[in-house]
Amino acid sequence: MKALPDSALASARFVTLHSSPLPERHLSPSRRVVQVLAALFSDTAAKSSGKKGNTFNSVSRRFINDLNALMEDLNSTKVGDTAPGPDGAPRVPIYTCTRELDTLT
Amino acid sequence: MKLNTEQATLARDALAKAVFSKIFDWVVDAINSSTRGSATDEAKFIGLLDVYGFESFVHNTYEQLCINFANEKLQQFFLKFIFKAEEDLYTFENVSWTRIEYQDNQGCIDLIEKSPTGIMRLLDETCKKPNSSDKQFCESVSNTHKRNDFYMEPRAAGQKQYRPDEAFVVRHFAGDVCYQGVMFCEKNNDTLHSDFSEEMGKASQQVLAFCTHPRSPSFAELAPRLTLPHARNPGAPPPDTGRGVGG
Repeated sequence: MKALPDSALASARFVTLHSSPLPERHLSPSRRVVQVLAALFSDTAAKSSGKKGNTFNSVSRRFINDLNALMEDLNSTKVGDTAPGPDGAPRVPIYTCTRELDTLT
Repeated sequence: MKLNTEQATLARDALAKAVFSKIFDWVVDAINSSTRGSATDEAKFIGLLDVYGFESFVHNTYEQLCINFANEKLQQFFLKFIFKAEEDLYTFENVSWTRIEYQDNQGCIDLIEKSPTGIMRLLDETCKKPNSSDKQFCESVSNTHKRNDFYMEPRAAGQKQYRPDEAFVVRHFAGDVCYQGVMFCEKNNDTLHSDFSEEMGKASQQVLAFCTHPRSPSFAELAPRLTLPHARNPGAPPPDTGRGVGG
């Protein structure tokens, strides 16, 4: 039996995960009402506590850091094409959008 | 904290960007957490890289520089990946081959990113100075890189309407692009005043308030199932550490 490419195996797993019910603790009503913004800024507020004024925050520096992190991911990732099945269609019927299917085949 | 109109506008915009950034990261973390299941960090994954294309308009500014810089990096990756993969294959199969010399764009990447004189670094240095201006930034780029092969003054590139303190030209792999310096300093400054951070840390905004907004029904459906970032949920799985590849 010919082995499926890595991408196809990963896709099949993705479907399984996607259809699995979330754990109960994720659905707890108490979780539904949360102080989102307060939580999101809690780390920033803690860092700035006691410090007043502005500290220069560079968009360029963050962009370069994010971009270099992406390049590290790419360099450590197996990059390849998604191989179609013998009938020209993907082996795992996930892709339903016509444009994506055209691209893959 | 007393601000004039211009300072208040910049502070407002910085706060809006910070809120957007925080919520965006939270949504990504929440989705990763909910779709991960029992998968470990060693699990295989699919990364979709959606790359913006090379941009060269009549008026190019800071956004175009960032986009084209990203494309320079990806071009370098592509060159290395393609040629290296082919060379490895030929070597593995004992096929004789002649080394192919290709145009390396490392010089252009260094011009933009390399510390301490890259364009991005010079922009940061300019922004840190009091009363800095876009004109000072362009002058700094011109004075530092006038002999760089990947830099050109606007007039030399046929952009005679611009002086060196108004614009600069970068010789990208895909073509020469003239960047106007207007707004570079302002766009690069993402400073958020500490008072804003502290006040946001005390916020009582409830997730349902914006999740049930009529223009985002899919998010409204999804959000109640999501958890807060890992720090607020000790029992939740750790956040994704960037294994996914996005663009």
